[in-house]
Amino acid sequence: MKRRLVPLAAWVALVALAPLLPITAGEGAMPFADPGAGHPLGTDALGRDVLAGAFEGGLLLLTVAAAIALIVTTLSALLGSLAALHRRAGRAIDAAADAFILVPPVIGVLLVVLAWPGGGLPALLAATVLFGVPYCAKVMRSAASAVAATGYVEAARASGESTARVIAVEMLPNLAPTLVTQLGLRFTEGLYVVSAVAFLRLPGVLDEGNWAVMVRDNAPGMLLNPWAVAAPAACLLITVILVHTGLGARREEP
Amino acid sequence: MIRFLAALAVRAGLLLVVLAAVYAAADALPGDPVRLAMGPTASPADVEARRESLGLDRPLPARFADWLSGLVQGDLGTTVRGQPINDLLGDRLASTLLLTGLTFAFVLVVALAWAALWSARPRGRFGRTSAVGTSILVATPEFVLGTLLVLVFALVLGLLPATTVVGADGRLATPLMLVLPVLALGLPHAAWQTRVNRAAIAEAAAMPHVEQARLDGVPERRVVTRHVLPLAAPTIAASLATMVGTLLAGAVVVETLFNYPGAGQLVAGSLESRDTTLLVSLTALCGLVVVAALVIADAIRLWALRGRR
Repeated sequence: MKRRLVPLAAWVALVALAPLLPITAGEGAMPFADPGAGHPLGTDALGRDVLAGAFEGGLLLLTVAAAIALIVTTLSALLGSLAALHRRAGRAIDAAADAFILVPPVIGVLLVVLAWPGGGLPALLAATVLFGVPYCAKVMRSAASAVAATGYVEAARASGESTARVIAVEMLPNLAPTLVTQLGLRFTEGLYVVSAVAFLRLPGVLDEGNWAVMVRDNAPGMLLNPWAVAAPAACLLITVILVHTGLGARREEP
Repeated sequence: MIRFLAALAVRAGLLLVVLAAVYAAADALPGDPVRLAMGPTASPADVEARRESLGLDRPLPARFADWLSGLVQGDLGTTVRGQPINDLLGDRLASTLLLTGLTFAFVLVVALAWAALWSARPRGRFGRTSAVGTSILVATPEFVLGTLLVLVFALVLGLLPATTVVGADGRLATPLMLVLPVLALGLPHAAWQTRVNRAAIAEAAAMPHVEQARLDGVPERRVVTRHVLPLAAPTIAASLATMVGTLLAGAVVVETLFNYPGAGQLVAGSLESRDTTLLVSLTALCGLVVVAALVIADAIRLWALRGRR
C-alpha cells in the first residue's frame, strides 16, 4: 500500500514545486517555435515556453480537484451514514440521485457557474460538490448499511446514544476503506469535471495557465509545435494513471 | 403494463421537478442574463427595454409555464439576444445525434464484446490488462484522449483528419471525420460500460439456477442466452441509459476539440456570450433525451423480469 503511493507522491511534489523553478515562461518569442535552444519543448500560441507552462499549469487544477474530493467524500460519508440509520433520509438520497442523473455534472456545473457571474472558484467548487454528492452518498449508504446492521451499532443506539455520536464514533471509523477508495474516485471525477470546464473556457474561472486551457489554446498550432498540446495532455494523463496506481482509484467503480 | 406506466409517471414527474429546479436556479443565482449579454456599456434603460421585450419582467411562475408549454410544442424559446433557439439549433441537433448515436452503438458493441472476452478468461493476461486498462480509460478526460488520438493518427501516421471540415451543403466532407471524435468520446464510456457488463454477467452467472442448468447439461450457449443474459440485461440497460447524459456532456467537449458542427458547440458558445437562457434550454433538451433513455431501460427491465418476481 505505502510503496504504491510513492510515484503519486513524487508526482504531486513535482507539480507543487515546479512553479518555484527558475524557468520563466518568457514572452515575445515566435509562437509555436520548434523545440530548440532556450525552449526544450518549443513555444506556445503566445510565444511562451511550453515546458515552463506545463510546470506551472498543474498546481491549481490538482488543488481544486483535491478540495472537491475531500468535501464530497466527507459530506457523502455523513449523509450515507445518516441514511443507513434513518430510512426516510435514505429515500431522500435515492430521489436526489435519480433527479441528478438527468443533468450531467459538466452541464450542471457550467450552468451554475454561468448564472453566477463573479462567483469564480467558490461557485465552481459549490456546483461540483452539489452534483457529486448524491451519487457518492448512495455508494456510502450501501457501505454504511452493513455497518449499521452490526451488533455494536444497534447496542449503541439502544443505549440512547445520539445519532451524531453513533455516526462519529461507531460508523465512520469502520468506513475507512470505502472512504479511501471514494477519495481517489472523487479526485479523478473532480479533475474530470474541472478540466472539462477549464477546457470549455468559462470566463473568469480557471481560464488561464492550466493544462486544460493549454490544450485548448495550443490546438490550432498542433502541426507547428505538437509539444504545445502533447505536454499538457500527457501531464493530465500521468496524473490519472498515478492516482489509479496509488489509490486504486477509477473514476467510478461498478 | 401498469408497472411500466407507473415507472413512466415517476420519470416524467422527476423530469418536471428537475426542469423547474434548473429554471429557478438559473433565475435565482445572482447573474442578470440580459445585463451579461448586453455588456457593461449598455444603459439601464436599454437593458430594461430588452428585458421587457423578452417578457423577462414577468413573475417567475408565469415565465416558467410559458417556457414549459413552448418546450412541449417543440419550441425552445429565444436567446437573450432575441434569436429563436430553434433557428440556432437547425441542423446542429441532427449532427450531435449522429455523433452521439454512432458513439452509443460503438459503446454497446465494444463493451459487450470486451466484457464477454473478459468474463471468459477473468484471470488470464487479458483479464488483468482489462482491469487496469478500463479503469485508466474511464478516468481519462475526452479532450485529453482526443488530443492524443489526433497526435498519433492525424499527425504521426497521417491516417485520419484532425479536424472537421464541412462542405458547402453543410455535410461532413468525408465520413472519416467522425472516426476520431467517436473514439475520443466512446473509448472512456466503453471502458466504463465494459466494467458494468462484466460485473452484471458475473453476478448473473453466479445465480443458483444457472449453475443448475449447467449441471443438467444444458449447452453453454443456451445457458448464456437463456439464463445469464436476461438476468444481466436490466443492469446493462440501466447503465447504458444513464450513460446517455454523460455522453451528451462529453459531446460538448469533443465537438469543441474537433470543431464538429453540433449542438455541443452551441453550449460552448453560450459560455462565451454568457447566454444563460440558451444554456437552460439546451440543458432541458439533454434532460429530455436522458429521460427517454431511462424509460426505455425501465421497459427492458420489466420485460426481462417478466414472470420472475
